[in-house]
Amino acid sequence: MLEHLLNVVTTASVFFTVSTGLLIVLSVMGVVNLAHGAFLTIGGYTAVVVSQSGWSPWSSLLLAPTAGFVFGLATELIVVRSLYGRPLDTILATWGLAMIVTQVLSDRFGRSAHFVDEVVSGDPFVVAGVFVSPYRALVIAIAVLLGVGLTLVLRWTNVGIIARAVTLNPGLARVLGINTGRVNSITFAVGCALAAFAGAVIVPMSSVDPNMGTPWVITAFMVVLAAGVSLPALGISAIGLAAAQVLVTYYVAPVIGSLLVIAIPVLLLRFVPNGIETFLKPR
Amino acid sequence: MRFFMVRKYALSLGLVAASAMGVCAWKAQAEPKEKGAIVGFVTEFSGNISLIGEAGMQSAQLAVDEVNAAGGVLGGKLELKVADDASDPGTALQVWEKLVAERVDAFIFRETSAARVAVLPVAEKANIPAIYANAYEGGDCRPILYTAGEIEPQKVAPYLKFLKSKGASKIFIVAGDINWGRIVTEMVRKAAPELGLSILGEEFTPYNTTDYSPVITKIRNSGADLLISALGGTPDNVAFFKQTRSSGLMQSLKVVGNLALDDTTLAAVGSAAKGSYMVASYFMTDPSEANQKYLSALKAKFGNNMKVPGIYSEPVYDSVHLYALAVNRAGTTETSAVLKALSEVEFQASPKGVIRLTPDRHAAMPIYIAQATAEGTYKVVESLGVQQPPKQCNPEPPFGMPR
Repeated sequence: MLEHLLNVVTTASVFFTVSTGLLIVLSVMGVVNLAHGAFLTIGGYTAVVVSQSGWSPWSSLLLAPTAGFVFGLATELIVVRSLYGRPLDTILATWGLAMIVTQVLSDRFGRSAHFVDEVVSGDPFVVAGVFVSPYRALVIAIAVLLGVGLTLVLRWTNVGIIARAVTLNPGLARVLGINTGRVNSITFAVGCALAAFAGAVIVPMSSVDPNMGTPWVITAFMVVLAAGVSLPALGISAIGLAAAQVLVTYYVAPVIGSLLVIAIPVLLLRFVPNGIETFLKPR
Repeated sequence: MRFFMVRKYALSLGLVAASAMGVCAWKAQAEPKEKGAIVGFVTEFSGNISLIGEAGMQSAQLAVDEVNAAGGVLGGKLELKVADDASDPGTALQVWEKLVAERVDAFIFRETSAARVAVLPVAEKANIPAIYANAYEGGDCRPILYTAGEIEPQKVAPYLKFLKSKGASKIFIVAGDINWGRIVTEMVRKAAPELGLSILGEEFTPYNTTDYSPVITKIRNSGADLLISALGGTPDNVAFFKQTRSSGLMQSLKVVGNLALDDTTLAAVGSAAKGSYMVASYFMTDPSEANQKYLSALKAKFGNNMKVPGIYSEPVYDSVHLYALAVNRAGTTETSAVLKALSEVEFQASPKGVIRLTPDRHAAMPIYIAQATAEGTYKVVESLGVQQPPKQCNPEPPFGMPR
């Protein structure tokens, strides 16, 4: 029972970490960034470079978001900025960008899989009869810190207030003197940085190849879709979908477990169009 | 005005042209060559199996160099037309059809069973010989096909007996949800009762599963002490073993027996699979002279880019040599002559020793059991001797001649 709980929490942490970048870009800018998976892959390859250069794996957790931020900023200025108010075109453009990034990475690194060392390795320790590996503990800690950190920034800092203002009403924010253009650029860059960070976090548990981003962007998309525009809702969505995947995989079959991550948001939106955040709003 | 007329009919003209080309390609079984031969070599350079495909490519290039240095084929050069099937049967089908249209004399392919089942009808229709440069589950008896690697029936029963002798008898099977995985699980299920082994659970996971924690929990809760893992592709094996070790499951199981963790994949998995066993006709760490010669030739040709060879890539080396020997013996690249010759030639410089294909389309192979070390390599712990494959096919294949 406890082991199930641990598995759900770990998977939920991964879902949450992978989705925050997409949520932030969606909420502040109203843009669906389908290049999210490509930035995840960039983060993964940053970890590969760190691994191949023999640097400490911890540096990948710093270098990956930096790379994500830089490329994200460039993307916003070159691609997204010219497509404001054209959501479908933005989806197309970001998807095209994802394909370009995938090919560039294939060119540079080859198409086959690469593997990176774990950031923390070592034997698992036992907590209440359940084995917890250091890496898993790190993943959970990262997700919690990310959630708490982002909530604090949004609530208590100027940056957060500005972001929330632009989310709520961009026109009014502009009238009040907020430079929405700059806010959008930074937001997009931060969203991509978070995607790359997530990439560096998840790659030690599997492998890196140019196409690794695609299944993850689908997962992130589903988690965000089910959540709606709200960080606490994202946490709940991540936990709910992770629980579905883990428990159904255990009791039924792995294929059905993965299927539910897609099926549940679709069904949920049929009845609750704005996602889980509807339940969190005070009436 | 004329320009618009062309544009109007461009689509139909295009379709006519395409179908004309298609008809020509369809009739394109290559004319038998008088000098040299062109082999279509298909393997994986992207996707789950890419690490093994790249190792296969290196063995192919080495073998082709050796064949050409020794005089080539029919007095001319042996050439490879290489294609990537992207670890996907759909893509495999497309590249095979393209290679048939390019008039290859034969196929040598190192692909998964799923791809094999999808593509061989193409070779059958075009009547082109194909050599399967891989170890697989057995049972494929198409007249145009020979297999240069071992088949599971040559090794499953003695392997299970060995694993039982290590002190475990309650099995949990984790296999890839692919046709090879399902067939091999069925073989284990059938062989277990006679050996006094019980199967406590089975789990099939799709390619690219990144989260094995529910499966690991299931194995732990089942009470099994013998884990049999039959996961295909490198990423899945890496993820599974890393997670199994970091969750403490690996340490708590008595015996772990792999069916698909070859040297190439183990090199990527590293120390996480330490202590687990593998059964195969070839291990890279085999100290025999023939193997050392093969390895140094690979190292000399590829230097630091040399990929680790294993049972899923070494057969490519044997296949290329066997094909060259067969064509030279038959004196032609014509299909039925080559197919007959393939059952008559012997390749004596294989890293495995001597390889000889039989009219039953498969070959006897030496079978070894090895244990994974902390350095990500295998140490051979037992030799099961040369194992004949159980009869797979009808005794008198038509050697490509239509009945």
